[in-house]
Amino acid sequence: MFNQDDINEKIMECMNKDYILKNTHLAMESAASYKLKANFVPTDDKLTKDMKGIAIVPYLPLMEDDDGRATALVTYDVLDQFGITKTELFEAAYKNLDEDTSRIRSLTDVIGSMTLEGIMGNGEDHCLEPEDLTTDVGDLYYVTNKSAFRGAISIFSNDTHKRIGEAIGDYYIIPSSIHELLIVSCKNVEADFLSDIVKSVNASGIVADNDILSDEVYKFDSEAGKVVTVDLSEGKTRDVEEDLGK
Amino acid sequence: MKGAFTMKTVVIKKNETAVKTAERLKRYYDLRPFRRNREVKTKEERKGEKNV
Repeated sequence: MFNQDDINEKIMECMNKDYILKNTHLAMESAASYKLKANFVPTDDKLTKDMKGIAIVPYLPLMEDDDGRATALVTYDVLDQFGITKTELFEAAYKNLDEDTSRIRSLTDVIGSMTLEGIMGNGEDHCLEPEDLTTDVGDLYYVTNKSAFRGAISIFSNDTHKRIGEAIGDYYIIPSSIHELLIVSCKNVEADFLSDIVKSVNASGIVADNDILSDEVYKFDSEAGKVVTVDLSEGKTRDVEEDLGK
Repeated sequence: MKGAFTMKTVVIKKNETAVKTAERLKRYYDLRPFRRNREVKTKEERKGEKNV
């Protein structure tokens, strides 16, 4: 596997404006985690403004081999160095997001064929199109990107979230980690029970601290055409902008 | 000057990530909510309730 010197060499070799704009990816992470780096990493809430507790950060893949993967956050420092505006960066990154097609699989299928290779995005034969999803399967659906790395955001790739909504109507989104989301039709479950599950799994230590995305449950509201935070105290979805007094 | 900026790099090992993902998905699978949903309970589960 590569080492830090290899990574530094790669940075020196390839880093330029064109490389950054063509290769910057977006990832979801917890707002609490982002808060620690807010002074030096830009964020954008175009997709997640109604998703309480989640921030979107830009990162660059640097190196990858069979054993590992190296990435770097795109900081304000990098933008300044290469004369890139925040708007330019995110415009390019959203375009790159659409090129990284989402992968959707039935969780039962994933568990049934559980191999490391299968989990990490190579089970292409079993992938579903958003239009293939149904409400009569008593299962969760697993949504990630091609590499299953920082793939939670892929639900927004090519409007996957809306296309799923057209197939199954309103659905809940379980933020299982920064790498993937799980979704389930609202017809099949109560949100308060999902919330209990998310909190218990996050608190169990089974999710690495850096991989925890959120304790909230989200919902695709097909009438509004967007993802919102489920407000369990009110028994209805919460408008985060109202919470912030915007 | 090229290289005069700082980058916060992160290195992950693929196998470790995959194992953690497998554990996480398995946990969600085991806890999947349908077991508590009356409409989708299995015949055995409904039978079990009647017997209580």
